[in-house]
Amino acid sequence: MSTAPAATREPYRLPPVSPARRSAKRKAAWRRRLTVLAFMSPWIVGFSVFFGYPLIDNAYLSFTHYDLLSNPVWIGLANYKYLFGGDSEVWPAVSNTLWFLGIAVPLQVLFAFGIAVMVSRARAGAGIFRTIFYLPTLAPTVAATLGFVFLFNPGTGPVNTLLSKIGITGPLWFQSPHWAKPSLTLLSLWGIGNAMVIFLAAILDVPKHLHEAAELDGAGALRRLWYVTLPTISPVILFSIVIAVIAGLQYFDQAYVASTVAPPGAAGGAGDSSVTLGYPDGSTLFYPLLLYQQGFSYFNMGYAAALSMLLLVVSLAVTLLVLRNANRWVHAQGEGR
Amino acid sequence: MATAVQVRTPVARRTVPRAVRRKRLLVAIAEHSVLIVLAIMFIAPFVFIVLTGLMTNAQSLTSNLWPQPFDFHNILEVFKEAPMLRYAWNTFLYASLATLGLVLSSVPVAYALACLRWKGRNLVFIGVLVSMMLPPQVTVIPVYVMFAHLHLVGTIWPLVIPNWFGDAFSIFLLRQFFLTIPPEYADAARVDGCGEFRIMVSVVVRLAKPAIAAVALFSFLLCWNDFWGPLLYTLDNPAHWTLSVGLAQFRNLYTVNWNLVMAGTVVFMAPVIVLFFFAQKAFVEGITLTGVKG
Amino acid sequence: MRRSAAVVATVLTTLGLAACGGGSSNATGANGAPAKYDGKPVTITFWNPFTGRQLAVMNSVIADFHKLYPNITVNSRGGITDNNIVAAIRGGSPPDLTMSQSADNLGEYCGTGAWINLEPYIKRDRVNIGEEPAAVQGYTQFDGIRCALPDLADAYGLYYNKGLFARAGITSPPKTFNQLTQDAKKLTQFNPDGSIKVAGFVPTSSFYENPAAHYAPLWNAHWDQNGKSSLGTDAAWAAYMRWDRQLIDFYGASKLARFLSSAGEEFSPSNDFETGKIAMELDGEWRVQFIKSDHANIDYGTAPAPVDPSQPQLYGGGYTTGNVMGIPKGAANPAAAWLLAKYLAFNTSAMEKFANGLGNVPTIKSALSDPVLAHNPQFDTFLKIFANPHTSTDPNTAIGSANQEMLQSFQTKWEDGSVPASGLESGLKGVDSQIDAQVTNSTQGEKAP
Repeated sequence: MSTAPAATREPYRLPPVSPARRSAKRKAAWRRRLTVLAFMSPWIVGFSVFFGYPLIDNAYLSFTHYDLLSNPVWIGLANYKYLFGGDSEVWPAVSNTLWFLGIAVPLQVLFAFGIAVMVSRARAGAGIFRTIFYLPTLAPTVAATLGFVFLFNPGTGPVNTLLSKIGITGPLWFQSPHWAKPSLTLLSLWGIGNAMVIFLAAILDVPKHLHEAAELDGAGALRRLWYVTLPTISPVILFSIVIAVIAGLQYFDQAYVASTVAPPGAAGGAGDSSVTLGYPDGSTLFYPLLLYQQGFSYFNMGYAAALSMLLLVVSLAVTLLVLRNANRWVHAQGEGR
Repeated sequence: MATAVQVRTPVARRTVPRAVRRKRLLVAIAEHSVLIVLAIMFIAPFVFIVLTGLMTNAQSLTSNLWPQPFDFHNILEVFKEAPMLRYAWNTFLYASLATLGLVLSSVPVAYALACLRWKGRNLVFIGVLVSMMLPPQVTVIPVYVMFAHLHLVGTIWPLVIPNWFGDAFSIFLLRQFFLTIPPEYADAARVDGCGEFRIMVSVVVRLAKPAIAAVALFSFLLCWNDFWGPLLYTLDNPAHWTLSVGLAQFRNLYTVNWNLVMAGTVVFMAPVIVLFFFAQKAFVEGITLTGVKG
Repeated sequence: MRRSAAVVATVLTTLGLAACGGGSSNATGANGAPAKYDGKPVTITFWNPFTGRQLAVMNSVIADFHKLYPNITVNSRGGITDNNIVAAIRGGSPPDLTMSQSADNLGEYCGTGAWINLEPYIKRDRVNIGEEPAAVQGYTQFDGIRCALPDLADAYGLYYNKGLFARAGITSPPKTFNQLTQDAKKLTQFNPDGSIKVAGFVPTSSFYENPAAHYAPLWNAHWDQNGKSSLGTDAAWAAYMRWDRQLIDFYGASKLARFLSSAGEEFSPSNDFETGKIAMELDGEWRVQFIKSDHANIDYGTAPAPVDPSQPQLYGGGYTTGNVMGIPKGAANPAAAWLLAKYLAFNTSAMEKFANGLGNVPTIKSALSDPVLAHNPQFDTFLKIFANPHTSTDPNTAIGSANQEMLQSFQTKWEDGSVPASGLESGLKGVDSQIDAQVTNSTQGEKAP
C-alpha cells in the first residue's frame, strides 16, 4: 500500500531504452513483419494475379473489341450501348436469373428448413434420414442434371409414366418453355442437403432451457418453432439465404447441361451445343450462360467482359449488403483477438 | 443459525393422460410418414438412374421401369465407348493436386489472419470475403486470356494452379476455426521460444485436424464435381477431359444411348458416395463448421 | 502493408504476358510465297468431325496419303465440332489441319484470320480452283478471302417411305409444299388415345434436318440484301413460316412436341424415318448410306424437295453445304498440313474413295463425272440436285451461324404458337435488327485496314 500523498506522486516514466535494445526491438518488428508476409504470400500472389488484376483487366477489356486472335481494339462505350440497348438476349437472361433468385432460392431455403425441422423431431432413424437427404448433394451437377432430364422425359420418363398411372398427363418438363425453369428448380431442391444439415445442426443447438421455458408457458410445438427456434437460428437462416443467392448469381452447370441434352433430335448434324443454349426458347438462358455464350462460343470477349462488369456490380451490391450485416454472424466466435 | 430441514417427500409421477399420449403418437407417425415419403422421393432418382444404367438401349427409350433383362455389361460398355478411365484419372489428378495445394497454401494464410496480429489484418479478411462471394464469371475472361497466352489451355493446369495460391472459402473456414482455438496454447509455445511456423505446425494444425480434414474433403468433392472449370479449359482436348466434361459430351460424340449415359453417371458418382460413407463424420462436421460457426 | 518487390514483379510480368496480345507465330508471310514442306519427318494433327464408320473411311484415305508422303505422319482425331475448333484456336493450341462439317462459321474463320488465307499456297502450287463447282467455290470463301478447301458436299432432298405411300394411296412424291401438306395429312396415323403414331412430315425447325437454312433455297428466300439481314423484307420467309405453322397446327403443337420428345437419335438405327415413324423427311444424301448400314427395314425413295407453289420452276434444286478444311492460325506445321489438304480436296481417287465410303457428294468436277463413283437410283437424285442451278447455300456471315440461331429462336416461338399470326412480319424484322446489331458488335474494330 502506498503511503505517499497522491499530490506528490510522479507520473510513471518508462526506464530509458538503450540503443542496443532499440535496434533489437526494430529487428524483432522487422522479423515479425517478414513472418506475416511469408505466411500471407500465397494469398497475396493469388489475390493479385487471379482476382485483383483480372478485375482491372476485365474493366479495360469491356471497352474493347477482342477476339483473342489479334490485340484488343479500343471501341469506347460501344459494348455497353449494345448491352443496354441492342442485345435482345440481355433482358431475358437478367429476368431468368431474377426469377431464379426470387422463386427458387426462397423455395430452397424453406424446403431445407422444413425438412430439417422434421428430422430434428424424428425419434427413430434421424441419422438415416439425414444421410438420405444429404446424399444428392454429393452427386456431380452434370450427373444429376443428366439424370433428371432423362427421368423427366415427357414421353418415356419414369415421372410422367408414374403420373399417367394416376391419371395425370405430365407436362413437357425440360422441353417446355413454361416448365423448364420449374424443372431446374426441382433439381435444385433435390440438392438442398447441405443447407438442411446446417439447419439441423443449428436447430439442435438451440439451448434446451429456452424450449423448456416456453413449454412451461404453455407453448405448443408450432409456437415454439416460431418464437424460440426461428429467432435463435436466424443468423444461420440469413447465411443460407446469402449462400443461395450467391449460387444463384453463378448458376451455370445445370442450365448448360439441361439445354444441351434435353432437345429432341439433333438439329443439322453434329449437334453444335451453342445452338441450343437456353433451350427451350431461351427460357433457361440465365445470365452466366449468356456470358459464356458470348465469350466462349462467339468469342466476343470484349462484350462478354462488359456483361461480366454488370454481373460484378450486382454481386458487389449483394456482397456489400452482406458485409454490412456481417458483424452479426461472422465475428460471432472468437471475439477480441 | 437455523438450517432448513430438507424433507424428502416422494413426488408422485405424473401420468401422461392417454389422450395426449395418443395424440403425440399420431403426430409422430404423421411426421415420420412425411419424412419417409420425402426420403423415398430423394432416393428415387438414384434408383432410377441405376436401373436405367442396367437396361438395354431399346428399353431405355420406352417407359418400362424395370430392366428386362438386366444388362450388367453396360458398365463395361461405357468404358469401351468412351475413355472413362482416362477421364477418371484426369479428374482424380485435378482433384488431388488442387486439394493438396489448397491445404498447403490456405493453412498459413488462415493462421496469419487468425493467430498473428498485424495492421491491415481485417482489411485483408474483407478482401478474402469479397473474393469468396463474387461469381467466378467476373474474372474468368482475363484469367482465360492469361492462360491462353501461356499455352496452358487444353490442360488441367489452369484448374490446379490457382488452388496453390490459397482458396478464399478454405481460408475463411480455417480462419474461423483457428479463432476458436484458445490462444493460451500458442502463447505457451511462444514463451518456450517456438517460431511461428513451429507453432502453426505443432500446435494449431494438430488441434485443427478435423477442420483441415473437412476442408480437404470438400475441396476434393468440389473439384471432382467441377464442370465450369474443366468445360472452359479442357474442352478442346479430349485427352484431358474430366469425368464431368466427358459425360456432358457423351451426347455430341456418340449417338446417345441413354442406358450408357446413366451407367456412366453411376460410375461418375460412385467414388464420391463411397468416400462419403467412409468419411461421414468428417463431412458432417465440416458442414456444420461452415454453417453454424461461419 | 508494404508490398515486396517480388510481388510487384510478379504482377508486372503477368501484365506483360497478357498484354502481349494475340500475335503468334504465323508461317504465312505477308510477302513472298509460303515455305514449302522440307521433306523432314513430321507428325501433324488433323481434326475432323467424323465418328464410327465414317471415321474409319476418313482414316483409310489418310493412310493413302501417308503412302504418298511416308515422312508425314497424320494424327487423326474425329468427333470434332465447331466449338472444339474455336476453343483450340483461341486457347492457343490448335491442330495443324482441321475440318468442319459445314461452312456455317467460315465467315468468322476467314474474317478474323482464325483460318489462314490459303491464297498464297494456291498461287504457289498453281492449284486450279475452277475444279470446284461454283456453289462450292462460294462457300469456301468469305469477303474474297479463301481460307478453306472443300472435301465432300451435302445435298438435301426428300426421302419418302414407299410402303406408307402405297397404304395411303399416294403414287408420286409431292413437288410443292401444298402437295406436301396434303400428303402429310393422308399419311399421318393417330393412336386411339389421340397421340401421333406415324407423322406424315415433321417441319419443326429444331428437329433433325429442318433448320430454316435448308428450306431457304426451296422458297428462294434470301438471308441478306444490300448488306442487311432481309428476313423481314423478303416475303418468301413469311410464306415459308406460314406453311410451317399450318402443318404443325394440323398435328397440334403439344401433341407434336410429345411425339418428338421420344424420337430416336438422328444418327442411330432408331432414327424415326428409318423405323417408319415418320413417312417423309428432308434429309441429306448421307442418309442413303446410313439406311444401308443400319439395315433399316423400309422401302424408300428419294426425290428433290418440294418447292414454293408460286415458284414451281425452282423444283429440282435444294440446299447444299459441305465439309470445309482450313489451317488454323498458329498451326505448328502449315507446310505439311497444306499438302494433306490439297490431297484430300483435289486428288480424284482420294475424293472418290471418300465419297463412296461416306455416301457423300464429291466436290471436284472430275470425280462427279467419273463412272467409278458408286451409283444407285436413290443416291443419284442428290447428284442431280447438287448439279441443279437452283441449288444454293446460305451466305457466310461474320458472325458465323449466330444469325441462324437467332432465327431458330424466333421460329421455335412461332411454331409453338407463342407468336400470333399477326406478329410474324414484325417478329422477323425484330430478328433482322438482332442479327444486324450482333454483326455490328462483332465486327467493330475489325474494320481496321
